[in-house]
Amino acid sequence: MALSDVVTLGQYIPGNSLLHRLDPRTKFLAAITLTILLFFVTKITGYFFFLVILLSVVAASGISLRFLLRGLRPILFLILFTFVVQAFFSQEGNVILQWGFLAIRDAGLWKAFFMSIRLTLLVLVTTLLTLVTSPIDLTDGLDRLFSFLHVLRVPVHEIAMMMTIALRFIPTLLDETDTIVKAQISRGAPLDRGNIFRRLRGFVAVLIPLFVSAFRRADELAQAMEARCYRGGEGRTRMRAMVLHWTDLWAALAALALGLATLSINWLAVP
Amino acid sequence: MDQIGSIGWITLIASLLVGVVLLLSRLRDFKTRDWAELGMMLALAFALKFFSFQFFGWLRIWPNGGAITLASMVPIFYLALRRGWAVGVFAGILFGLFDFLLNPFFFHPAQFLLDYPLAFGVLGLAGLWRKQYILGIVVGGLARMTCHILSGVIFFSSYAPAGWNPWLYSLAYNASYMLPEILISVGVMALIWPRLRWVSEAAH
Repeated sequence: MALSDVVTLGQYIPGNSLLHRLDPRTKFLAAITLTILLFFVTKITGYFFFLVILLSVVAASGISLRFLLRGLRPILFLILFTFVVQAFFSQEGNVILQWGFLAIRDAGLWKAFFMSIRLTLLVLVTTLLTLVTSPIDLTDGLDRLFSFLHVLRVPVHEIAMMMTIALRFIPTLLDETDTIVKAQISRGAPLDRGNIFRRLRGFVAVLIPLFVSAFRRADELAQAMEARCYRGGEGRTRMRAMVLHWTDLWAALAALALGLATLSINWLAVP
Repeated sequence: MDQIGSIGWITLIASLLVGVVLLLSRLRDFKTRDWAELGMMLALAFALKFFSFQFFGWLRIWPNGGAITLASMVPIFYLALRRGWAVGVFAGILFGLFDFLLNPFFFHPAQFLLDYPLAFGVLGLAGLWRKQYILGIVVGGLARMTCHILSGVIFFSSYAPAGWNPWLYSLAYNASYMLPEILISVGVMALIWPRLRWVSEAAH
């Protein structure tokens, strides 16, 4: 099995739910808006309301909770750290548990809980976006979304094209790395034995051919593109045109409603 | 970080935008071949990054973000040294943004800027020392470490209780993976850059 079949790029889970089918631009803008709004929520009721709605959207899109939780893995440590530090070192509130010089205080625990839920929600929104949007769709969407920067002579199209090239060639170069590593090991390169310095030295024999082959691929690719009369973004059409549907409008309004509802609940709620 | 105030934020973001536009004006004469090479180098950086997870799975002990990789910064350093700091910074920023698109980790706007576009963008500063390239790589690597340390400080100042020294912890945490990462890049570049320069000049 090729290495590129084992390693996944990003977190995208293919599917055909409403969230999957939305235009990447809608999803991107909704995620940004909701993230910014989350910074204005200050009460636990607001966070809970947001969490419940978010989880029902996830359930409706048919994404297993397992994948969503996997996106939270990087912040598990931060949450744990927040709990420990806040519980033991916070100087406010009443002591619940005393053990030698260590004391756990209720205000510290409450604060840690509050911060963890805020951190979790922030990460959940971005994770959800990447779970239901493939990297290539996201790149395309960003290309369209930022194409107005063309006025400032920012090469938006070229950047998007380059990102697409990078995405397309990550698996190829990953497999090539694997092949070259195996080839050099079979010739006796010390990649799988010896101390770390010997291994790194051996890795030079992998990097040089890898770079040379990447240069060659870039050359061939540019020639192939120019042979087909590629000349940048001006007047270029797309194979898959992006069209905004009515559902995109409804989804955008729903996201906005969710944000506003969270804010008003946050404003009305006591705790 | 919260003391900066809105005027500070607006100035910061405006100056970043001006910087990006100035940077982009240096790429006006990029041809299809150059864009293809830039894309390929980004792909190579990601391939090396993903490959190192496969190669040393046990190295993924840093819980958030950081990781020691098999020289995944080398393609960016190559671009900075071969084509100048502007291209290097540009490639670094794109690498950072792309990294965010693939595996987003976000809790604060300043943390996003520091951990992704800025952290990898400053790697390109290596191109300012094209003659003493070892110095350039060390400067670029340390600049990236500074960005991660600042982002760590933002986290601790908003999520840890008062009186906790955020700088020390952030320094220890980020240095633990950045110093080995810089050492690997320096070692590998010292061995391959003389040959790589020859190869890439022969190719052009």
